[in-house]
Amino acid sequence: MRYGQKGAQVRRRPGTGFLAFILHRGSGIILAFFILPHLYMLYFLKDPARYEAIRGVFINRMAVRLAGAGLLALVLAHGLNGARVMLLEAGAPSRLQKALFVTALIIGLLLLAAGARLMIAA
Amino acid sequence: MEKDRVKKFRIKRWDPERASKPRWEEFTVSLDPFERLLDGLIRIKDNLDGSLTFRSSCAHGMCGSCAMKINGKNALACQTLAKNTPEVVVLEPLPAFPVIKDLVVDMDPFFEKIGRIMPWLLEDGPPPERERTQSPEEMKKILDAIKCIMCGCCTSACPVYRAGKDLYLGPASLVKAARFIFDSRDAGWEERLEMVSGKNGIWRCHSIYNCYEVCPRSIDVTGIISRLKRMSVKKMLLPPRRPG
Ligand code: FES
Repeated sequence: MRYGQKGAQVRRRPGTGFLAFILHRGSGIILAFFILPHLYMLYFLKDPARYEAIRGVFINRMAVRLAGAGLLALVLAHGLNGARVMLLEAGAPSRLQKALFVTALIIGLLLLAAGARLMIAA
Repeated sequence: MEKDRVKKFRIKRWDPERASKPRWEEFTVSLDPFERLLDGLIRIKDNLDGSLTFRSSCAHGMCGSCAMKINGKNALACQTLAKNTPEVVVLEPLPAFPVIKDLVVDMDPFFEKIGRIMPWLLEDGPPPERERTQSPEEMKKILDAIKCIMCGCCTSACPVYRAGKDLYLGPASLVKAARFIFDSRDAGWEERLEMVSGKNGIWRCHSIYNCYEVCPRSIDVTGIISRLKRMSVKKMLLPPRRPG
């Protein structure tokens, strides 16, 4: 059991499941906001010169490339956490929920490191 | 008092009829390492402050009435040994339920939701002459769910329940529903499954596992809800069949 004390009230550190849920929800919401302008660019930006100009802004700046790595982090967080929940709901034992979270975290960080390197170098 | 046996009980006290907000009060008691926190509470009530209010009945982790928030985690006071707690023991009423007084909360909303899932065997034929029998294999399917003592620890620890108290049935009701849905003697499983598959049932569970972590009976609460989710999907896709 974990205990922590602060003043009169004691707040237990949030459990792994709760952290995973917040991460999943948060990344999902941010991704939804990203997808809208992304779809706009793909489907409605018909003028090639303008398309290229906007694309140029996004591809060339380092800050934007780093933001791209952030996007990759969001996709990994959301996707891997989703896979974890699906596994658990499909019947994986509840006692594995923390181990699955840690596994997802490690896989995510490895993929992020590899992906971010490629993106920044591209 | 022997120094290593001294415990400070920091208790959140509130009489909503007399005060507008809760206050914290501290009591010092001596407890043997193998005494339970409930023993400490009884000692405080008997010797220090008779107005301290808490529930207890069986004192053996069977009735569920002494559920409270102990050092930030919902648990049973009669099951928590002094040796497993720090020197300062912080006690609060179960969150998510209205406080009646001190550590006593109003469990009516909780039992109202349990009532919604019809917690009794439904029959489709005449009653048998003797008892309704069940094989050991059939019993194993409900063994975990029948351990529930309805203390409310799981429901009160669930953030989804706390966010939508009036809506979500909560983990304890869903475990109770599973206890009947997977019971070979129950004829109402389809009706019940439909009810818990509705908008205030299993699909509001986000597999956060707080319920699983706090259950004093070590019931795989989230696992049971996941089992109901699988059953609900199967029922939608395949012809109705008694859940396994
Ligand atoms: S008094 Fe019955 S469970 Fe604690």
